[in-house]
Amino acid sequence: MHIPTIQRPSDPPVEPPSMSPRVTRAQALEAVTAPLAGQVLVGTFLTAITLGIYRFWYKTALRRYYWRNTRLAGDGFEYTGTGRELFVGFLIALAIVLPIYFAGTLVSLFGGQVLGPTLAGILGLLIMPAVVQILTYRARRYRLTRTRYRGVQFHQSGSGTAYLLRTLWWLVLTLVSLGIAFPFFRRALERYKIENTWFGSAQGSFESEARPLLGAWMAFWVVGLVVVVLFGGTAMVERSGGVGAMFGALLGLFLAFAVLPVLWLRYRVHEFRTFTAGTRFGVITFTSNLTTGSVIWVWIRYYLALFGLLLAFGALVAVTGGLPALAAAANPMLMIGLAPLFILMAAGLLFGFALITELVFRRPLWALRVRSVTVSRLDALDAVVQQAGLDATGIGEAFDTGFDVAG
Amino acid sequence: MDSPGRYFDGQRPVPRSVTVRRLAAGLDIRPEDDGPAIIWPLGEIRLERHGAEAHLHRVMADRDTGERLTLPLAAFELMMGSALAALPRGRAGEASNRRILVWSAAAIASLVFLLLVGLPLFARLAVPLVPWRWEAALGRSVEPQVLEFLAENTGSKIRFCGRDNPSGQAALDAMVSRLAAGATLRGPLQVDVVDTALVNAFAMPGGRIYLFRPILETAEGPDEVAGVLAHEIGHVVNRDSLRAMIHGGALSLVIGAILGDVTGGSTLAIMGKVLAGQAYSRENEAEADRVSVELMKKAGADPRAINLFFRRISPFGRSNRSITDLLAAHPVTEDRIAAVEKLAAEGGGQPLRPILDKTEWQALKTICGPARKS
Repeated sequence: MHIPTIQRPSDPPVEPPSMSPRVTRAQALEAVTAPLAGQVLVGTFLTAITLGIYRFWYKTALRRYYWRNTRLAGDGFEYTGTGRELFVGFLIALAIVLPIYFAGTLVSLFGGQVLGPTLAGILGLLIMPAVVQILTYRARRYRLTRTRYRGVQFHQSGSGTAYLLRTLWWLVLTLVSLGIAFPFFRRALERYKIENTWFGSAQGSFESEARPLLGAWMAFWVVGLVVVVLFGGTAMVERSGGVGAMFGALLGLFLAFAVLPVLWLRYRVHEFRTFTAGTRFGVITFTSNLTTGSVIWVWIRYYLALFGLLLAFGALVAVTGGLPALAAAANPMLMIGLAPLFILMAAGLLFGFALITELVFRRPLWALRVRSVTVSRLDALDAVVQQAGLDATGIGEAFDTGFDVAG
Repeated sequence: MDSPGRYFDGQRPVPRSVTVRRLAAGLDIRPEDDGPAIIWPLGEIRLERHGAEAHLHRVMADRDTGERLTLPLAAFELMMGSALAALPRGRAGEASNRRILVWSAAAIASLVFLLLVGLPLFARLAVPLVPWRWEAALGRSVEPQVLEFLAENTGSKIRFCGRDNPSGQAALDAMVSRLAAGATLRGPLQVDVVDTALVNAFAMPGGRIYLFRPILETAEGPDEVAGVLAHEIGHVVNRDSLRAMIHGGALSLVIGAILGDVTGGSTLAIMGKVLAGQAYSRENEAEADRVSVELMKKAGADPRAINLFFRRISPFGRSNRSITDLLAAHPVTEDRIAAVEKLAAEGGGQPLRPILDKTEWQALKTICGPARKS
């Protein structure tokens, strides 16, 4: 006997089965660091030999890894999307973007002195970013509908156009305030996203204020201003060539490359904590204790690893660089024998870069963010019911970088 | 062989403890809370191994039902026995890795075909459809970039010598009009001598031709310069640079699309453009040579002079070649020289007279000022 087990959407939900011990205390999100290097190597290799076509399937494999190893109360999240959907989404996005790009090329070539640059500017600086913004919102909808927890689907309401209008409005306000209103801009967009996020029947709500972020933001803003002033000033003083100009330039460089990135990361970490704390699904709430220091440490290790890779590669090139000349002198046929060696070296660089990016950078950042989050009142999950007819197409996925890391 | 498990019905994110039992055609999932038993047919079970756990999900008619079942992997494998290998794989709507690779290979094959055959053909067919007015507009709009590129490459500001030397420009114009008289042109030619150290000449879309100063300095008679100029007029007549631009633009679009960098400008696209430009330029060069011989003959000048010039600038004894040199853009081979000799010999026998008289030649040779050695 085959008993149908799928309820139609019209069915009244059955009474909540309540055999598992109710989780009322706070639960930390877990990040399980399962083996990943093999998948990275295979995915990178297949992407390379298919001239990039495999990247959609590779990205899907990585998402499955990160989703399923993010666990809450003993159950992992699930990514149910497929590479084919991403690929089709990419083709559709191409069909939307290529004509815009083509039109931009045509008007800038044939539009004449005034009209050409104007139209090309409108296409390139207004229409294109607008389309990308809409596609970004749709990409988030795609990712959410392909995310399940305990079998129940997430989804996203709202529209890309509304998201775009919000972006534009707040962009204007941010520009008018000379950038000071940036946290309000970020909050408005985050709020729109969270309030349109659903887990089954549970809709997200957002109660964060932007004001607590102003301190961290203004620190970045003020130092940024100092850098601009210093560089502007030294550019003017440079002709007189004093020691003061030199000092100013050095200080500017130090602030721009050492202090500003740290302050930016600090702002983003504050933002992550604040926005996490403001997110609710009914009575389910979240907190995060992510620290700036831990994020910066990941970045430092990432740069050190990249530096090490380049150093090793440089040493290899230095050692083998003389080989072609030697081989050519001895016997030109030997040159052909050297080709595999150089292909191997290039492959080593590619794989090294892929491994470092995934294992030293993305996974640690993911783990830091996940482990910083605590969820309370999970018992309220009992009231959540799956919603029907949620699948979104993969339009816009092509523009999805996949990870919005804290930085 | 029963096994305990955790079951989610796809409706509520609430686990139910169940007892799982193997049936001949599937799994029997029996909730401990005495709810009705649930049957999963074998063909609807998808397995993912997570450490020591088997994570099962159910796919009906290629759709994920949301139902989930977790049980110890060892117990599940024991329960399934030989049927384990026969379980369908992958997520709903997923293609297997092998199919992806087969289709990628097909995509790469058609791409190679597109690059080697499709795009050149497209460029050749598209050229006659472009009105001359558009080609001239195109030439005008890319000219600043070309000049900027040249300025960067030579490290000096670009100067058109004829602009402040009317007698030199007059001699140049005389040469141009004597050559152009024999050509079928869609619009006026505009020829300028550019003051740089490179030995080069080239034609832009829309009848714009640049001769570089060292050509005048290296040539030992007006006919050698006229031969080179007539060759460039050949490129204008054949609209080669328009074709190259259409080809290059389409190529960067295609490569950009593959790499996901649709806004272009990627290094690979530029590399591809350069390579492709080299690959198809040989027959265009032969065709331009043919036009050169024809125009020189009609003007009553020596069509073989271009060969003398080519031999003079051939790489033997020269050291400072750069990528923008004449030889890089117009590879001179013995074949080309022989072909020019052959064409020049056909129906020959006209009286030869240099295309410019001595005074004119002197004016042209010093158009950029007194001769310098580069």
